Amino acid sequence: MATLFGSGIKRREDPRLITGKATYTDDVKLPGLLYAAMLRSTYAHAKLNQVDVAKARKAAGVVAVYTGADVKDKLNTVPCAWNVPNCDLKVPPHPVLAVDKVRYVGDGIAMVVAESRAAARDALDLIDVDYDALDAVVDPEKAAAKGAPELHKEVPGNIAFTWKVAGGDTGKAFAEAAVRVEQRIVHNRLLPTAMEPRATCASYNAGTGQLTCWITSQNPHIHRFLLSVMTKLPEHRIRVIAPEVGGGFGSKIPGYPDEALVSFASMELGRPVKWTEDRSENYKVTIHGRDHVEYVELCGTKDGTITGLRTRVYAGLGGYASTAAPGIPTILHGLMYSGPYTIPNIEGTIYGVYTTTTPVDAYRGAGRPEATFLLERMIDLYARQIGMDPVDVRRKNLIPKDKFPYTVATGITYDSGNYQGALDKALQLIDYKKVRAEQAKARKEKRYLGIGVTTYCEICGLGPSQVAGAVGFGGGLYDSAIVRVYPTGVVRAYIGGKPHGQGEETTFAQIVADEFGIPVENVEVVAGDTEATPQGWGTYGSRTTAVCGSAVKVAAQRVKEKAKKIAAHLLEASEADLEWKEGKFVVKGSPDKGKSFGDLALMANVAWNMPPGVEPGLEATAFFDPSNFVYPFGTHICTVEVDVETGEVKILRYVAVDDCGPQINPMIVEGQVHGGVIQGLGEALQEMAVYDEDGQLLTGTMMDYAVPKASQMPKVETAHTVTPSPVNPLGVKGVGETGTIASVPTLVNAVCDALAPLGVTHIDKPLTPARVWAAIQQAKGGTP
Amino acid sequence: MRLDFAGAPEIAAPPDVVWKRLLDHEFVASVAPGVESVQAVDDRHFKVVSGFGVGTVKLTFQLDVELSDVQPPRSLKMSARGKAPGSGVDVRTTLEIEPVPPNRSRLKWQASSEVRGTVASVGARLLKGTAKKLTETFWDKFAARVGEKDTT
Repeated sequence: MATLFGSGIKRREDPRLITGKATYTDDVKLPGLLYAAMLRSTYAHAKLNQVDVAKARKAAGVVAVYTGADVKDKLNTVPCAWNVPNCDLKVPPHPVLAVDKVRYVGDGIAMVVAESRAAARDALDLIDVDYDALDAVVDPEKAAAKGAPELHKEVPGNIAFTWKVAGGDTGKAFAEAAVRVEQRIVHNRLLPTAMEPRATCASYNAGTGQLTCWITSQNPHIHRFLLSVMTKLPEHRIRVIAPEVGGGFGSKIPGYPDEALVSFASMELGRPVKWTEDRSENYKVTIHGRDHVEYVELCGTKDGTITGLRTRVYAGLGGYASTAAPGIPTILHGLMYSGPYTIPNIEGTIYGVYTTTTPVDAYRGAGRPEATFLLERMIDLYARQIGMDPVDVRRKNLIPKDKFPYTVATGITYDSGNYQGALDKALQLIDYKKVRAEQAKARKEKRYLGIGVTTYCEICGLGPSQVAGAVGFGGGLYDSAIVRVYPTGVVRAYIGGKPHGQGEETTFAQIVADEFGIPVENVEVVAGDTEATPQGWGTYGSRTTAVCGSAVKVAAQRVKEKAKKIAAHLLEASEADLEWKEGKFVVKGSPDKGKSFGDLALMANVAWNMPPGVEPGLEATAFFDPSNFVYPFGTHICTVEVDVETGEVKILRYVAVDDCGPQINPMIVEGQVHGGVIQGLGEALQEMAVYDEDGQLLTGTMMDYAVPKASQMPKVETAHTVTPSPVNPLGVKGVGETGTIASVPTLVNAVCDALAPLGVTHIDKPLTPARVWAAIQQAKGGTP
Repeated sequence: MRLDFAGAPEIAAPPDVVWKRLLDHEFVASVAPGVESVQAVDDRHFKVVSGFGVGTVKLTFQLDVELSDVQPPRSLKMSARGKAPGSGVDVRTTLEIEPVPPNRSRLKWQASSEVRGTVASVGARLLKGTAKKLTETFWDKFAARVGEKDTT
């Protein structure tokens, strides 16, 4: 029987998603439903004197209005759940509604609950807020400087943490190095534009004391815990349902004040309450991504051996420490400074800095794109300095394929890899020698062609729970599945993860169907309801297939083991004499004597004739905790032409060779790579959240924030190598974030390569025509 | 976001006439673009309702206007603080009237505005141009109307 593993079958979730038959949080309608709207600060930083809600309370249709003063004793503050150790982390209180101060434009001040969405919105205008404006600071480097306005009295100088990573002797490496390069790099702040904004619908049943909360969540079990902390309700009285979730990119991981407030309102009023963001609100209050200012140095020999890397990073956290925020620029960033290379000496100092801006947290790639970008940029600067081809420098420093598992200078151990294999494949696909020759020819004609190369590896498949505990992550990182077989032989897998676009409803069904030799249509995957699914830790960090998929595999194996016992009993044979053949357990040597999975499903569920000591039923639960993270890798190459008169960048070709181990569904893998690459090219070329010096967000709509459009983007040519991971039974690695990790430096390297003859060495992204043009003018010695 | 504008139109009327007009809130409102109503709280405080549109955003601001440092017939300061749905605005204006012999004046004005919230985030690209045009139109129109012979 042909296996489904490796088959590019169509995503079963798509028909309902593209025909309007899917149910999102905002689609939830309950009898007596009320609607909440939040009054948000228009100041980035201000003392809050008085919030007068008297008029709003009297408005038509308004049921209740709550201020910070009303809720501060009834709700706990918003927790930060990644308490990174050994960095003097300071997490000041984050009230669900501001009490005495506001710290970013969008900080919550009051909640109106009304009979209709319009009445709630209208009543916001009747609230009078008396503020005393304070100075704002939006740039993390400036916020860390002496004399900057301070956000929190508990955090002198706005420094939330100072985290260090060190391996080898970096001081010595730099002192002895023949070549050094240095660069200041700014990672533009990004808005994780998920198609569906955030929403919460809460329904409290005073009779049972049970709160049911529909949340746009990537991790319903984590939200159950965070809600329990904020609402003070015990965890077993809270049910979180994440129905259809329209993308997240990390922005639907954190606990936000809004879900606690809506739950509180439902508990107070005894009616269900719903709140849904619009896009402007989403851009202002849902977490942002990136926002680093980095000072980076790299040193090496004259013939291309990298000997050291040193960084000083100012990572903006925004006004408060969001749920996972401290772990992003530290554990998921600094530990990856070696990339796929054998860099013996590494030292990084990362300052987490509070600024009067929207909180920053995980955004697709989360820490690793920034690490890969700085490393890949520095390698190009180094290659140019020593006059070596950037591909040769990379090849010289890649970890050899026979050295795995390999421990890098930052202390982490990579599972498996064949970096040269992916590099060779990408070079062959782009025909590297030919494009270099074309570039040389074009330069003679005063045309500016560039070639950008990135060899990357990244840490994902988060991760061993023991490591999670050691690095201060406030939870486990195992995952879970229940595989339940019905009497008629159809199967449901209840999983701890929460797919929201990644296609695991399809790929996990492929895993189960393969194990049981049944049609994939006979398997359903259920996710997103804490009442139905076992404890899980959610979908992020490219972990769902590697960790939760492995739990599905193990649970299915357990079911099959039990089925085998029943088969042996029914066939009056010993288990050792049975083999699994074409969807049946058969007695070796008598292939006509067998029991199919369907037969065994029925017999187990009716239990008419069970083996002695075997319980009725056919289901199994598995909790899978991996022994290590997985480290997917690959090479991306891009060719561009830059119009030096206008600064416009035209992408000629984009080649992505990625290795995520064996692919369950190649079509879904390709989709993930396409999406990731395009999202990364958006970051490289045009996306940036802009604040003015007063902390006003100037890119508050989709007219101002430049998400990539299909017409602007190239065809992405994909290819793969396959290097299994030894840390999970599927051998798989994550592929959800590789695109945003690899594509950003690839594009920027290509543009800087194109402009090398003009003396341009670095341009901070996004590479808008204005910035590219200015860099050209500056390199020419003119003023931009 | 912060916006700073200034101008100094010449007016075909002497300083005392300009001054009188400047303190006549109904007259001022009649030349101000978008003003829907003005209500005097006392002779130094006014409540103003004014429409404002930038790009696709059309908002109605409720403004508290205060006159201070009133030195007839030479100078005064006018501050306006207002709010609209999801938005806030502060405008601080300094006005000075200089005589231009024999019988004319120059109105030197300087307006410094701070715009917050939705208007800033939604209209940032268009805001500066729109606000500049509105502010300049206002004072130019004021100057022109004061200079008209038949105004009473």
